[in-house]
Amino acid sequence: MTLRTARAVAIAGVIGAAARWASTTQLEGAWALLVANVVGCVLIGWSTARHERMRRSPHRPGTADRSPTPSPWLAAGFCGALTSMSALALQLATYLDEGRVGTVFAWLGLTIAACTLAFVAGRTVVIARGAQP
Amino acid sequence: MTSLAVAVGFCIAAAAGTVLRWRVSNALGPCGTLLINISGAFALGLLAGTGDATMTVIGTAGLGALTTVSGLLPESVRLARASPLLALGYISLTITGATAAAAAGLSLV
Repeated sequence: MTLRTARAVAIAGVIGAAARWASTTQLEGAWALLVANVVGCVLIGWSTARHERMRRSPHRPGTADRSPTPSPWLAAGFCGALTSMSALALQLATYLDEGRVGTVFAWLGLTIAACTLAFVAGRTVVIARGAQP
Repeated sequence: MTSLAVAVGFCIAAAAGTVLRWRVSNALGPCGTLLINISGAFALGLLAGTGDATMTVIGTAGLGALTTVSGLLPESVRLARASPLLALGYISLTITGATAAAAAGLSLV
């Protein structure tokens, strides 16, 4: 965990948070957050699958990435800051406060389904490319 | 607060939130991420209703970058290899815990 890695994670985090903030200027708050969360989940799916493939690669044993986690700047930095659990929790808590229980479950279901599908889609892209002859 | 001060504050808060989450998650694993997500949601609930500049710098940048949704998924995949129920419990606990924490924060303001 070098200073250089920490700096890369910090810079990527600023870019991710700025992208999430910028999405709120284009879309209504709840939809903007959903888009940011889904994009972050596609990228983290792609990143983790790519990392796993590189670790298993027998072709480049000297150069393959042997670290247990994907690129910290992309995974923890950009994707981590692009997505936000606190903003989602505040959104759901506000709906609860207004007595909109049905809206809470609808957003919860939509967010979990969309983020899971996005993660799987990101992984599938890497796996499908790896399967090509 | 001027636009420049908000922009500088945004960058510092987002960088600090991201690095803190990265360090805690590396040190404590899924428990660290759970702790970060719940405490961040509580703090954001407390901040609700404050001025636009404070909410943008501390809420959107600092606490937004501190907490994460994308980080849950790789951790859940790893937990699911040990036990699918453990992964399901981790995701459920994170979402319900964070929402309850945000609601608790909101109720205190």
